[in-house]
Amino acid sequence: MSGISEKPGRPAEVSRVMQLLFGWILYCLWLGDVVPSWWTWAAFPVIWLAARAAAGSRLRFTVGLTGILILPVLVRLVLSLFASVVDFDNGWMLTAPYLLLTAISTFLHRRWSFWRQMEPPILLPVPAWILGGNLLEFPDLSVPAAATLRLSLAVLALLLTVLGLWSGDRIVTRNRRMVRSPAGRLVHASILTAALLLLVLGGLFLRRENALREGGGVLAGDLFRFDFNDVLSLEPEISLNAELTMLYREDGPAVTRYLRRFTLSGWDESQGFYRDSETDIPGAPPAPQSLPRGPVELDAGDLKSRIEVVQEYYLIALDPTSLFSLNIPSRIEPWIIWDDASFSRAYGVTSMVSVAGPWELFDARIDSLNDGLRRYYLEGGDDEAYRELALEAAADAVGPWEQAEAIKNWFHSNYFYSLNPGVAPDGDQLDWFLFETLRGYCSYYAFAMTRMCRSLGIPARVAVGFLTDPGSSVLGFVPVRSDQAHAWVEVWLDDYGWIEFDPTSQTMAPGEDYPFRFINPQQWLPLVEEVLSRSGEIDVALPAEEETASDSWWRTLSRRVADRSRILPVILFLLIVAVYIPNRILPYLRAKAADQARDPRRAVLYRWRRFSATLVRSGAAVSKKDTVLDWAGRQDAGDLKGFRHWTDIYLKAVYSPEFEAGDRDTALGLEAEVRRRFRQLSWKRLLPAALRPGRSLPW
Amino acid sequence: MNRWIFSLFLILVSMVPLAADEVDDLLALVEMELENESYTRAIALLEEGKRSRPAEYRLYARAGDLYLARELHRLALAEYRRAAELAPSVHHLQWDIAVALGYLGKNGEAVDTLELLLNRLSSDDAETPGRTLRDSTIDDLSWMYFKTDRFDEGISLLEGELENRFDAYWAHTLGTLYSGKYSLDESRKWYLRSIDAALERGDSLFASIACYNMSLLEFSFYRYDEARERAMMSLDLRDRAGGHLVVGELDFLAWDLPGALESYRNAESMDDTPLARMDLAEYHLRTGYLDVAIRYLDEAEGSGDESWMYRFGLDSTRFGMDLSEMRRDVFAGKAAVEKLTPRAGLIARFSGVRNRLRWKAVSMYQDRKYRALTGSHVRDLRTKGGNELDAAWYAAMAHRGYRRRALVYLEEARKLETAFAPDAEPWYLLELGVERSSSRYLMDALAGFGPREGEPVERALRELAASGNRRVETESRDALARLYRINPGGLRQYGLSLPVAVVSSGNIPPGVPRRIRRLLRRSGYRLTESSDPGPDISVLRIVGAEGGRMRWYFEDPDGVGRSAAETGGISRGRKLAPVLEGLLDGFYATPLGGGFG
Repeated sequence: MSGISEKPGRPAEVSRVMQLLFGWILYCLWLGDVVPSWWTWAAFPVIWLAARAAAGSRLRFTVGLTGILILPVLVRLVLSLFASVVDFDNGWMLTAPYLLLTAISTFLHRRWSFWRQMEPPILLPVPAWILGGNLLEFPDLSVPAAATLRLSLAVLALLLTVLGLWSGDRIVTRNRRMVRSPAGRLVHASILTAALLLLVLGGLFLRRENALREGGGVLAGDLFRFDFNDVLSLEPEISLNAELTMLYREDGPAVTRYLRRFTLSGWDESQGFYRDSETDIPGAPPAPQSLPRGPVELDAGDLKSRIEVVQEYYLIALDPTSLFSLNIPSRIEPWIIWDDASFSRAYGVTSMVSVAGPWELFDARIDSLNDGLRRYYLEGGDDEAYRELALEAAADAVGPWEQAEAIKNWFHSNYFYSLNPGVAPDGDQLDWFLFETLRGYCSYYAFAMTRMCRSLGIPARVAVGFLTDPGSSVLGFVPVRSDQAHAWVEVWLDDYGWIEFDPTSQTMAPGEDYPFRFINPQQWLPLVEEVLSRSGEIDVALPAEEETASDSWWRTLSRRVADRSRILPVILFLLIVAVYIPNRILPYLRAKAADQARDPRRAVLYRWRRFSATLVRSGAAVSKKDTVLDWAGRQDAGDLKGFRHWTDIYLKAVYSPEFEAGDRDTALGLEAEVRRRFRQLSWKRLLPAALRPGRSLPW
Repeated sequence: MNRWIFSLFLILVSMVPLAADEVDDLLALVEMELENESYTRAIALLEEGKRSRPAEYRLYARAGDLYLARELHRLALAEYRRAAELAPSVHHLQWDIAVALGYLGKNGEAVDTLELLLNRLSSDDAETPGRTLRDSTIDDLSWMYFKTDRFDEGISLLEGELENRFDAYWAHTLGTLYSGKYSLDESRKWYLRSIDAALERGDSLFASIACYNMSLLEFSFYRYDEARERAMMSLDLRDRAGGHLVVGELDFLAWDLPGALESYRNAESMDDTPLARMDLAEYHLRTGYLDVAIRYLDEAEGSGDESWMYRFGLDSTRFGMDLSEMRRDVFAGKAAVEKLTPRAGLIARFSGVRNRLRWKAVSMYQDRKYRALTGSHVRDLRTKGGNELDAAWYAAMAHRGYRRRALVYLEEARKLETAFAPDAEPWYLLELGVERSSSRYLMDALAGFGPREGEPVERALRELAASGNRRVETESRDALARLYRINPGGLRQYGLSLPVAVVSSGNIPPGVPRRIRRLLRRSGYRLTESSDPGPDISVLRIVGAEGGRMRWYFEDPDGVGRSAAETGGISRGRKLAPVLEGLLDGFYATPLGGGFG
């Protein structure tokens, strides 16, 4: 018995070649530094034509397939007689996986009808891998332009896959009828779309979790960009991912700066420190937590020993609304920058930065906060164990500044920095760090010191942001990497305001090495050049202008794909599931449910339909001209004796008012017999039956 | 407040066109801001100045200088070009452009610019006392001729000029050009003259650099004592990274691992180029610390742009070749070590296979990249008609494993080099031996290497041990034993290991020796009996101790324990494999800094 016959339509051939060619171009662009250009142009057409010729010839399956697989070896052999084959090998050895995939797929496409529906999702991983893994670099394009290009290519890859699936359905039967209805294909495409939406949501979740681990436990992230977490979480293990997040610019001698994103003053036993209505000056309105629409003047109070510091922020892989500043900001000035900028947002901030020395802070007091604020900034400080530890750490200290300084130094002397603090047996990570392991990363230190300060009655809060590395400064520009995300402590001192303390130990835990990361200057110096050469185009954003200048949809979209996604395997899995949902997974679930139903008809109906679909997938030809009985009779006369009788019972279940449990039992017996016979068919029929996504029955 | 005053100043500046002396004032103000590290203000001043005096080239030139000093070469080039458009008669700007082009690696364009400039400069300038722009142009142009392998043009230019007047810089560059042509005597003559002149005028930095280059020259002619002498002289004159690097390379060549490591680390501490890290990467690669090698390679690749190459006879292709070659070896090594690492349990074995495949794929990619870059370099050399020896040598390297062609190129290089440096012969025998898989060549090479050539000896031993040629089995086993004694960490990454005899005694759980043997055999180790004769037998001794504990010892062919462990009474493969892995890692480890065997 022949399968569904057999010549793919022209649209199917065109779409699959487009998909193959698209993958090939991406593959060669990726390896363009090694693969010779002549190979890029010549190899694909040669292998494709050869595979087509072999598939269209009268050669037996195995002979034809073997022939196209050894073709490159033969070509190499001939070439080696005349010239060096190093270049040939440079092309062949690196591109062989894709070329073999092209050859085999082209061959199977003409020989195995079921391959037509398998092929598009099988080809998709190549562009998905190259684009998703950011393997393609576009050094001449700005960051948004490159991201837009990647996005466009990814969409194109997906479109070609959908087109391939769609066209693969357009299998022309002997009588030139198409088996799948347009409505069926619509459903198919709709499910794919729905799966994509699901993926985005799933990706958001995964990315957030991943960013938290990779951002030192303080960076959160959605699918496409970073921002800091609202809550200080203590992870048992983190890794540090060095991604360029922004450029920071400040005049004057380069010094280490704490670029603050949030302060976390709120305390709650269940979630620890969290972001609340934050202010730097008691009694002042809450400070903005995200970039305002236009310039904003802020109350920086009248604090002692503070100087004005002007900063510029050029955000790259950060949420464009994220607002950074040195403690305490007095003016925020969002900018409108050039259209094709490599930055998602740029703005200037003026801060009043403390330069108070120990001799000034030594006798600072903490009396000026009112009772409400004092209580607020001391929450979480009522744990006796923390108080005892704080008293031990600050045994000889007098006054709040000296006590805080003593606690900080105590951490420096007695604790270790570790990216792998481990899992606390009782779930209390902080206690585990503080009393048992003595090893943790910045969040642990900030969390612990804040609680210890509070336990001594010193108002304190956690701050999160980036710690800059002045050693990399060029003309006042400093690159800021994601692994520089940091948490530290701010302590309130009357007249001086919130003063920074960094308790994180610089001593690595025994047996651990700090994973130093680098960003090649070639990656960020061009961005400095971009700012310097185009700074004349910067305008201060007025609130109304900012509104109209808000990101166009394509910029937003391109920014969102700028981050590499690690959820591609999940996307692929879901896409495959989506392909299998309509005609494989749903019928299976229906049949299972029908087995439990009281009505004996249902089990017969769904079991017969499911098996018939399997039969069609195995190549049992069906056309719309066929009646059920015609088709069943043909199968019965072939290898599946008993199928016609089973079909009679199925029709009885559909149409007859009388149907009894005995009929169901008979049907089940026949099914077992037919299935046994079916399993004896050749692997050429069983394999497609197992793998093909399938299509709906015409009845 | 200062910011607003500054803004007001900028507005005033922009409203009033600047007169010439005002430009001087503005430039003085820029200098003041730069001294205060107020770069934003300095740049803003320059930009405002450019707006109000768009025809004033000095503002552009100053901006170019500022950017060039901060390695913003593209911006610097743009500023210099604009300045040169405004003031075509200011020759110095052309020189600035050429320098910026050089830093950007656009050596061809730099040569064109300098040639044009030289034609425009009057020869009368040469008579000006001191160093004129013409002097610098000649020096830079001849250096660029060296970098672009146009040695003859450079030599002709400099010799013509040196006939009229001696210049230490020119003499030094001429020495370098002759070294590119492997002309030892000429190169040495000009280096020595430049060193003498520098010492005469008390320029110790220049003399140190010249000594360093001369040391490299002697090194390339296999004259190691002279090379060391010159390197030490260079260090005496100035404690520079270059001097330490050459000393380290000489120590490494002599397989003095502690000395090499110390010199490389000294170099690294003061090196603003990736060269020391490259040497450290190679050191750790050869001694089996592959992850450390990868870290150094990453640092070398990621720690700077390529402008440092301007000062070295290197370009991005050559640097890329070195990087790819080492990455190829390091990942191939990781795959080989993984193969020789006992794994038990489905997940561990699957993970092992996955890692091996991944590292092999990376190694293969780096190999192809190395060949592609090397091929391109060879084509460049051949096109320019530059260095025939280098072209032949690199062609052979690009064809490694393609025996027929590789042998042709190797023989060509051998003929060219041994004609002026007979000491190169054993090195070629080694390469030919590897390419031909010939034990005879390898043994001849071993016999030919001098006492200061421990590094090629190590390689020759490895190739001999790996040859597996039954006719020279004794020599092969001897080589393996010798290799283990000088570099135990360098064995497994090349798929080599000593045969193991497993010996157990005392009360140990039943089946442990059998499982250990199976794990070792499955990982690719050759098992033998401790009674077997052979210079290369290692012994894994398992001793049952009280309380059901077990002590593990791995002994080298001399019977010295190289690694040990103590465990409880474990007997399952999944527990035994990590113990074995730890023992093997300890056994096959070259102590950092040497001091082994």
